[in-house]
Amino acid sequence: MSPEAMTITQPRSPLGHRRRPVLWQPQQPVFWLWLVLTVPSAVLLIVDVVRRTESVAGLAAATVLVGAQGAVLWLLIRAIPRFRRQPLSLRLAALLWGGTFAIMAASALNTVNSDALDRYGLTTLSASISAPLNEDLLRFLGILVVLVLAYGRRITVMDGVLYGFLVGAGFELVENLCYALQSTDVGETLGIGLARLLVGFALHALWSAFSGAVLAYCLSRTQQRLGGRWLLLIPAILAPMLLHAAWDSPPLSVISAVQLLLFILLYGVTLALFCCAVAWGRRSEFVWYTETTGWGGARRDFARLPRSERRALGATAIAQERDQAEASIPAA
Amino acid sequence: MSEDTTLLPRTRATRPGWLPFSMVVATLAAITAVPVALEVLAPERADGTVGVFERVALNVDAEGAFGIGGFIAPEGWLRESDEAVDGGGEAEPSSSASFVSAAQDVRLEASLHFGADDADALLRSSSPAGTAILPITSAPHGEGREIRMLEYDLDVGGGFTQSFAMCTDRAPYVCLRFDVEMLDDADRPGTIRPDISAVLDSAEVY
Repeated sequence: MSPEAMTITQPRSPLGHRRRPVLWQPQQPVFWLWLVLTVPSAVLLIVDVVRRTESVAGLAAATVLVGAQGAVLWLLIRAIPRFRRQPLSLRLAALLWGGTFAIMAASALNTVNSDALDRYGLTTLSASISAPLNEDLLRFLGILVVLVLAYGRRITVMDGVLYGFLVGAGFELVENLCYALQSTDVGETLGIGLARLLVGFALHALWSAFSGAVLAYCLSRTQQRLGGRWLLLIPAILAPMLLHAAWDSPPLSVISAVQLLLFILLYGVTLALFCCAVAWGRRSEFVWYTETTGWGGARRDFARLPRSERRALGATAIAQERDQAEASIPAA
Repeated sequence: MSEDTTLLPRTRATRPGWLPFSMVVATLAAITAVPVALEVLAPERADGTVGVFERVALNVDAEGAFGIGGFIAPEGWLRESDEAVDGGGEAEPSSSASFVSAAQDVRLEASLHFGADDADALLRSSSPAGTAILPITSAPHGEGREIRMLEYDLDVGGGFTQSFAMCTDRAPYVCLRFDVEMLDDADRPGTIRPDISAVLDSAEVY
């Protein structure tokens, strides 16, 4: 099919123009769970940030650094999906889960775990046991909640990648803000913020994106009545946990270069997993596109089109799917 | 690329409903309950008890050179001290740490030295004069570096002492020394306790 033929847009039905709030789903129990967990956490987080703030300059420095990281993460988030953008309300829901409930709950649970593990003589391993268990599981639950809220639409692997990335990004941004606010000195705040920015950038987001990809794959198969392949969730949960545990593990040697090498290795493995998840997500998105529009071309032909044209085609496909959905709903 | 607010046909997607809700609540309950249960069941532990995989790092800075050494402290033992001691000059310990076993029957002191001629010379230098004729042997431990051992029992009725040393490959040597003092006669000379073997296996010096 030529690019000219691909740009032909389908007529949209009047219903197709209507935008529906996708987060507001009072009939869904997980919506209430999301609401009950994130709103109080957001309040507690604000109180915590105010309590930690020693000076306005320190808060400003920390905010600038976290803002810079947020900007880079936002660029990544924009670049990941090719065909359709996930609903804004669900993207915000994912970000808020990670940046409010997940971080606050993980912080409290890590503290309790740390005290308990100290009594078993596991002080040095405390971070590498607690953090993966609490943080990765809490983020995974957030991805599950958001994907269930997105379940009314066709789920692709890319949905899982993006929501996972957002849950992790929210978590990481707030974590970095809290770390940066730990010091009373602006210079020290900047130092901590820069170190957090440069060492292991976006690790939480990258790990969650991988978990999200696999979870979305299982849910999309269930959605299509193909069988969930739920066993895939074991590596999807364990792989980020093990990488996280290794990242937080005590030094393997008194030579700091050994630890640096380990960090580089772990970051490389994490990036590789993330790239695989994104590639898988793009393939899944493309399958959605071809099934929706009936287009028979190759993915690289589509990728060669200008960005604006790709967006227009994506919008057309979404409109087509929406029309098909509306047409299949029996009249009341 | 535009925002997707498309609904799937109602007949195609059955919403998961209460199952994910229950899974989330159950997981949250589990990760909250586990540390509480661990805390309740935790055994009493004396202050200063060495935990699992606690690495001790020692360093020495003399004559413009810098040496580092380390080992994994024996789990369950009690720390006597782990303060760094400033080096007073060549062959003086610049950093040390000491531990005693939970049963109070063995004492371990580790120290890092700079400028010794070699491991044997270090062992001889701070051992009693009576050990001068005793042989220094190789201990079957240490990864990549030879560990030398001097064992002696100079007083009747008490325990014996094992001293170990391992050094860097090139001069000026940085050496890590372990002195293991048996405080009773339960252990037999000629054998190395398993917990001390583990310490020796984890030792490193650079």
